[in-house]
Amino acid sequence: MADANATSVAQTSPEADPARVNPRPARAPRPPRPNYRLIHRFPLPVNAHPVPPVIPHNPLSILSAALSYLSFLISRPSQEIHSAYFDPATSSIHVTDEKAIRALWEMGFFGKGSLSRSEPSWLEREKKRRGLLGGNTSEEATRRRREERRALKLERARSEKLLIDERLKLEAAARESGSTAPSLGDSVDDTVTTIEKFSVKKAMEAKYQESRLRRSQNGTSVPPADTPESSQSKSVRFSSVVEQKEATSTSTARLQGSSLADADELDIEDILENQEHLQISNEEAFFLVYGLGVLRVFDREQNTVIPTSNLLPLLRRNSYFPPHAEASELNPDDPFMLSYVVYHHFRSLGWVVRSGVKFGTDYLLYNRGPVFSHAEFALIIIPSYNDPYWSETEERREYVTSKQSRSWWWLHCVNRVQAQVKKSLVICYVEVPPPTGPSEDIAALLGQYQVREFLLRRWIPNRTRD
Amino acid sequence: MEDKDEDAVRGTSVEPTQVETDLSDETQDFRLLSHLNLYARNAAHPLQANANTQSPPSSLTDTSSPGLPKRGEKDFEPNPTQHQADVLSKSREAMHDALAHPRLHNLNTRVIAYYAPDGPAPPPGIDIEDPARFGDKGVGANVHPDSCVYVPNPKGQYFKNMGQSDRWNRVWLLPEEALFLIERGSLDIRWPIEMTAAPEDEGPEELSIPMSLQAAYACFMGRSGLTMERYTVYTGLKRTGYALTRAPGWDDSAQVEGLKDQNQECASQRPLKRGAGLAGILEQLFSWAQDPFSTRSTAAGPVVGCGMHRNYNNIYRQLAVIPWYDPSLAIDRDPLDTTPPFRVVFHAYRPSTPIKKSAWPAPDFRIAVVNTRETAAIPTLAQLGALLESTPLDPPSGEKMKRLVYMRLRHGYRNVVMAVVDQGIVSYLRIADAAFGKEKLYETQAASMGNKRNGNFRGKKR
Amino acid sequence: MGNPTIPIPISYVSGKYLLFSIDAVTYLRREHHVCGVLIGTLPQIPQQNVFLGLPLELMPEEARLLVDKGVACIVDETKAHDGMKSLLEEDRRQYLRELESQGLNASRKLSDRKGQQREQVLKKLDEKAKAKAIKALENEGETDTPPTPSPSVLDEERSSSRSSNRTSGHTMAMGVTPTTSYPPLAQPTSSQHLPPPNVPLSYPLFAHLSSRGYFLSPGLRFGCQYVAYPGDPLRFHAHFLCVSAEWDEEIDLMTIVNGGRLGTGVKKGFLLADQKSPRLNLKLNEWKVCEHSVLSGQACEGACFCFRCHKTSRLPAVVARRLSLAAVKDTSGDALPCSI
Repeated sequence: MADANATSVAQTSPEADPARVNPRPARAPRPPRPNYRLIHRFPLPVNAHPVPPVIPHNPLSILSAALSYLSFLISRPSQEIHSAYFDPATSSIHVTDEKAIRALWEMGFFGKGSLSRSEPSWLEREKKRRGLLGGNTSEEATRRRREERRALKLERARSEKLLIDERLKLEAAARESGSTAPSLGDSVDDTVTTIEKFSVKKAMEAKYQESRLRRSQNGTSVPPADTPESSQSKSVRFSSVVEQKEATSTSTARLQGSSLADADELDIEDILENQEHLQISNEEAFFLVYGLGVLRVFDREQNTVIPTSNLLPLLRRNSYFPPHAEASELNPDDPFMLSYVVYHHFRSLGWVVRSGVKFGTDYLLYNRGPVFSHAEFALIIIPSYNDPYWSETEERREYVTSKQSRSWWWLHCVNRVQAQVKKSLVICYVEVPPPTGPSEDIAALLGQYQVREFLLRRWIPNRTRD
Repeated sequence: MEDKDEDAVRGTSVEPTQVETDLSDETQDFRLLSHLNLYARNAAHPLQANANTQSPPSSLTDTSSPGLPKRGEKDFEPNPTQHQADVLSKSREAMHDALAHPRLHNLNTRVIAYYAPDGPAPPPGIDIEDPARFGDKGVGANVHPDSCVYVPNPKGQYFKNMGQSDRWNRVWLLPEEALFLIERGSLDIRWPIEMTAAPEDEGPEELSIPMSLQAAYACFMGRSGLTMERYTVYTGLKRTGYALTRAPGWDDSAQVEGLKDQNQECASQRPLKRGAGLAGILEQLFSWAQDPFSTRSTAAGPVVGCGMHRNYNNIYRQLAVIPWYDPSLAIDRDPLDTTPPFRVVFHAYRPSTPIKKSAWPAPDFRIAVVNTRETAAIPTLAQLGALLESTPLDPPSGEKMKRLVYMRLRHGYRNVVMAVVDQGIVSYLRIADAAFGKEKLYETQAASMGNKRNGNFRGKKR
Repeated sequence: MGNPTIPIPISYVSGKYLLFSIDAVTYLRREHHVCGVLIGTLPQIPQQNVFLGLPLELMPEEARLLVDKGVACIVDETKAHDGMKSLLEEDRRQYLRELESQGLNASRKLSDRKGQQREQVLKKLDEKAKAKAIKALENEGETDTPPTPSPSVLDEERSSSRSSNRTSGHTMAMGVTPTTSYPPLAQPTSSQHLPPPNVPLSYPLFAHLSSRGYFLSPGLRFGCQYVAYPGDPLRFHAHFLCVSAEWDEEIDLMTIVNGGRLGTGVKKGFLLADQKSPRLNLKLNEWKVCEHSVLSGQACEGACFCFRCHKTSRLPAVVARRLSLAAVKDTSGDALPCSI
């Protein structure tokens, strides 16, 4: 099933012409990459058993299809149902069973490791950190890179300060000698400052090239794409004050870090216990329960399964902070309903939907999953109240206005951030129905909402002229 | 696992992405302009030419004017050096000089126009016996009633896509057109002779008083719906080479009579909601045949049932329970059936689009203009939806869009450009009806998974 | 660069505050750190949007600040131009004469400049010819060189160009479109001035930063309310992206995430400020909260916080989405009462 060249194909664009997708000329050797294609071959944690294809002129194929059909009728393959716990203190849902964690992550990318950036990988990182596994962790590389960067920044601030002092001295001397201030070239570029400007970027690049050279001389492989940022952005200098502040804060942090490391060494031989659980968002949990039927959510205190009909109100009340009381009425526009409607919609179209908090949006949409490609779309949710009910009284009109209004600067802020990370911004309006009485039919409830997406991007007149 | 999105950030956050880089985003150093200045103190470079004659038509399509520099160097912190102070004062001097540059008119090429405070009217001394015969105000039906400046002797390139001629071959200009031309130094507008009370013995050209830029703003701005925001957008795009006309929605107070009720009726009939319908029922029937023991229940879940599934496409189809808006089914809305300012006020044409003033072609871009100080909140769905529905259906087309799902989504089914103006600074947003619901992503995924023999699959890292 | 007379009249046109006098623009920028936004076309390069010209549009905040300082006054420009109807015949003639002399002046300058250019071209031609001649002399006997133009030819060329120069020296006055209407109009008296501009709720933040020497410009394009520069934006990069909030206003945490991201991306601080509050010190797990030295210290009418998002700040998927600033007030100095 696995393809030998899957890893190299992984570098090409999703929409690349198949003819051109062939392996690129080999780069520097890199550690083998997990075969994501194999690991994540199932898009959802649900089993699908395809019927063998029926070829009309081949009676055997019909027979085999019929056989498989019958065999499934007689003994039905069982669908694994995983367990999760609702934690009322944090209004969140946890999965602790190792097998369930793997299944939910690998098939559809549900949840995130409580101690990791996304995939639960704390245990592996910890083992590497303690030297139980070979190789360097990417976290370590990041830390080293940051330290280098900081040192270079300090150096730059220092050299700039020197430059200013130098110039001040020169100017003072010139004033004393009675001549006019050091004359200024009429030319626009400031050759002096340009030449003497200390570029962190260039220094980083130089350093990187150097280390690369060294490593390749030693015959060891170069770690994966740790390239320094190359850019044409203008260089910007922070004041030395800021730099010093940063420096002191890190040095104290480092001190604390080293003392912690010492403590760790005492029990290094202890058997590592996985401290991490999978945290799934409330929307993910409800989708797994209601949509796919592959999850049971337990009440942590009573250790009983929460039935779907109770789970929905529970999550809806918990979408407020602090959670609404059990007796209180449910609002048709509570944050859970809005975000669940959107979550379900995009999941049902085949997108892998994950939280967009890191980029300040509600969701990110991945094609196939985060290990395969960047999220192309970032999504923000805004409720809409077109139903006449919402404009019947003054009070409601005010409420609705406050709920719908977002400022322009906020929108531009979000849009700018998405442009920085090369994502397309989608504004997803959710039409909110008027309140209805309690209903057991979830589909009927969901069917009252409606989703409409707008794609928003900066328009630059100069670029669309031709 | 590596977090791809974080990596993307690491690579890009320091540099503004290409899309973001826009020279006009920031104040640039005017010293880069000093060679263009007639009155510059130290004019090292020759003056290019007279303001009037310097722009040949070919340069309309070329914004990268020869003198335009790359972005200049700037400091991050003020410091006490004389050097820094000197550079700053040089920059300010250069700015002063550039802004003090006069608007001059070469006698051979100058175009004189007259302000007509009362709008279009026949030339003085000509009596129209039967004004009604000639339509509005007797100057000809072509002339826009909001026009307020006329050019008796129109010559030069500017009137190719600006103004309208009357029966006496005078070109009448709308306030924004007149203001734009006077501002760029291409039009010498005069106060009406009657208004400044001149004696009879002199010719009109000698005795009429030239209008100042300030006077032009005072007289034209605010006239017939011309707000500063609209004007800022108009000139900004004109400078870039676009041609612009007022759209039917220009007048904020214009409403569609009797359309409201009719529309609501329409809305209820419109099959815009897509979700479980007849197709859904068929779907269920189909899935039942696939799996007769289905425990599928949309009321209490699980939506896809606990049973066994034949393929993922089927699972996804069953999951589709959320209604979504289908822009391709929406009925076109009257441009006036929208809420100002979320209404198209300009039609814009690329420089390359051939233009006939008598019959403007379909616009390349439709532009709505919003003043953030007046309309602080972004549009609601009702407002934005109406705006999009008032533009024509423009579905993704072409070979590339057919192939690329992201491109189709980004293009959308209808689109509009919203110019958001904050105190003279314009940010343009292109807004499109995306219709994710029309793209069953799972189908392309399944196809790519099935296509594994040659090891190619789509959906890879960009 | 003359200094304008105080108070500087600000033109109120169609709800906007405009400046047409270049001296006023330069003066206010230099002395009061008020930059405004240039919105006009520069006649010398009218086909671009990077360098713009007069008029200058002021934010209502800027106009208000100047009026409050007694530096400027607001004039209803549309009404003031009604004065054109009652212009005295004498003033009208004098004004036309003045414009004519300006036009003459301009055409002289222009022809001078043309003359200079021609001189330069000729000079270059001369030098070229000389160099060629020298080279030819050096190479004599070795190769056949093309004939160099004889001095007489050069002289002829020069004299012809000079004569043409002379003819164009007889100059006609160019037409002039003046920038301002004062003269011929007389400045309105103080009784005709309009009341100070209405300002938005973010005005206290604007006034505060301005009093600290910052140059402020409208920030929408950058995703904020004001962009704050430590010096003249002509020469300095901005330090802060500023947003003003109400004291009890709920701030969506996502707004802070976005602001932090945005600020880091463009190497600026995201500054969130409100009015009437003691200084707060927020500490968030993954957030680096730093107060800029300029703003720290003294109790002031507004409290400002600057959030710089740590580049790889790792936020759990579930975040308490909204917090009230008022709630933070009670726990000043401590971690936020939500599980970040």
